[in-house]
Order: sequence, then C-alpha cells, then structure tokens
Amino acid sequence: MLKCKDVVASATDYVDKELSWSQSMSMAMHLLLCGHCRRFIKYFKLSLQTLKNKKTISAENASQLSSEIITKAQADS
Amino acid sequence: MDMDSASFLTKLKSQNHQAFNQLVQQYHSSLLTVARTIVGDVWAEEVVQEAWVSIFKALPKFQERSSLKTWIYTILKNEAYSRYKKESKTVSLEAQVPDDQQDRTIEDWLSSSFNKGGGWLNSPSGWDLSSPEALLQEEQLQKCIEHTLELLKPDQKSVFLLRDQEQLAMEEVCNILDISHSNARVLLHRARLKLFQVINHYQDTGEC
Repeated sequence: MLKCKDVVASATDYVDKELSWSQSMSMAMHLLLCGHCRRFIKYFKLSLQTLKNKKTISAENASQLSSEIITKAQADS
Repeated sequence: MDMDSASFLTKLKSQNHQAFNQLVQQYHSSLLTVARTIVGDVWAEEVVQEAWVSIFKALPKFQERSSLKTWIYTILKNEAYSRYKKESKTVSLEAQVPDDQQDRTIEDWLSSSFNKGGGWLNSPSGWDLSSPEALLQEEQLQKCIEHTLELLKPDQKSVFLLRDQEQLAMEEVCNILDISHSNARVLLHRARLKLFQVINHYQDTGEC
C-alpha cells in the first residue's frame, strides 16, 4: 500500500504521466482515499503555474545587446 | 508576439532586426542559466553572446525541423560544450556549485512532514491563493519564487526552467544538458518540491 510519503516522492512522475500502469493504479487508489494527498497533488500542480512569469531582460538591454550581436555577426561574415 | 508564428519566423529568417531583438529579450536570461550549468559563471556571458552571433548568422538556414526554442538551445549547447572543452583545464564546475543547502531544506521539510509510518504529520493546509492568476498577481510571492530559483543549483535550475518554463520535452532537456533521464527527473522533482515548499510556506505565513 502506497504511503503519503511515497505520493510526494512520486509526484513529478505522476504529474508528467511517467508512472507505470501498476504505479498509476496504486496512486489513483491512494488519492481516492486520502484527502491530504489529493490536496498536495492539486497544489503541487498549481505551484508549477507560477513559472509562467518568465524572467526576461529589459527592452533597453535587449536592444543594446542585439545591436552588438548583429554588428559582430556582420563583421564576421 | 507568438514566437512560433509563421509571420514571426519569416521575419526572423530574413534577419529582421526588430524580430531578432524580441528573440534576444525573450531568451537571453534562460540561455544564460543554461550556459552557467555547462561552463560556469566565468564563461557564460561570453558563450551566450557567441551563441547569439551563431544564431543570427544561421537564421536564414533555419529549416523548422525542430521548434525555434529547441534550435536556439541546441546552438547554445554546442557553443557551450565547445567552450567547455577548450577551457576545461581552467574551469572547475565543482567550484561553481553552491552548497547543498537547498537539498537540506527539502530533506528537513520531508522529515518534518511525515510520521514514521509515512503518513502526513503536517499536510498542506488550504491555500488562500488557490488559482494560477492569484499566485501570479501576488508580487511578494513572485519575489520569493525568484529568490528561490536563484538559490537552486545550476543543473537543477536549468532542468526546471527548460522543462517547466520553456515546456521542452524531457528528452530535449536531457539532450541539451547532456544528462541522463533519471538524473534529470531527480533534479526536476527536487526543484518542483522546493517551489511547492516555498509557496506553501508563503500561504501559511505570508513570508518567504
């Protein structure tokens, strides 16, 4: 029988659908019975949504950088 | 701007400066992160610059056999490994890896969250911010997350960003970083757990 600790250890494989059929069945059975783990998995998935705020450089820096790159590329060729 | 749209790709392939500028703005930070994983802080900036020059020159030849981002990361990877081979006598990857404080924090969290039988001692309580929009709009939380990402080990951060932010397939992530699938999954899981732990703590306390 899967323990709550095992659910946490397998969360990434579960979310990415990388568990074997028997592991998936064990996980599904555990989640059916355990509200704590259902909540954990729900929040674990939700937390990944926060990465949508992608870090980018400023428009000004990008402009300066791309000018330098283009100048260098044109000088090389 | 959809960077995989046909019109944007057409502009890029004709080396349109404005389109290239947008590409640089969008990917420069992520490329630096990946470059740091391969060559370390000392060479990362230079490697990314060289990669951008190669990318700009090669744009007219981009044949769209892979996605634009996979193509970009592959060029970066080639530049980075080529530099790594050249400088491997002077670059010490071990020296750039920060201590394993993050891993210890995860271990502490795991050991304090479960009883000996593997059941929850402290299961996550209900989150006040329980929608993606609410999480993204919480400025303080975003700062906490950014800080957490900064503290991840370079290889962990690279796997995490390429997989969960850039949404690359695991196979592509492993190929770019030249690591095994099993290693990548361990790194990814620990990074995801760390992110969860930070958000969970913030939801409980309102602090990082």
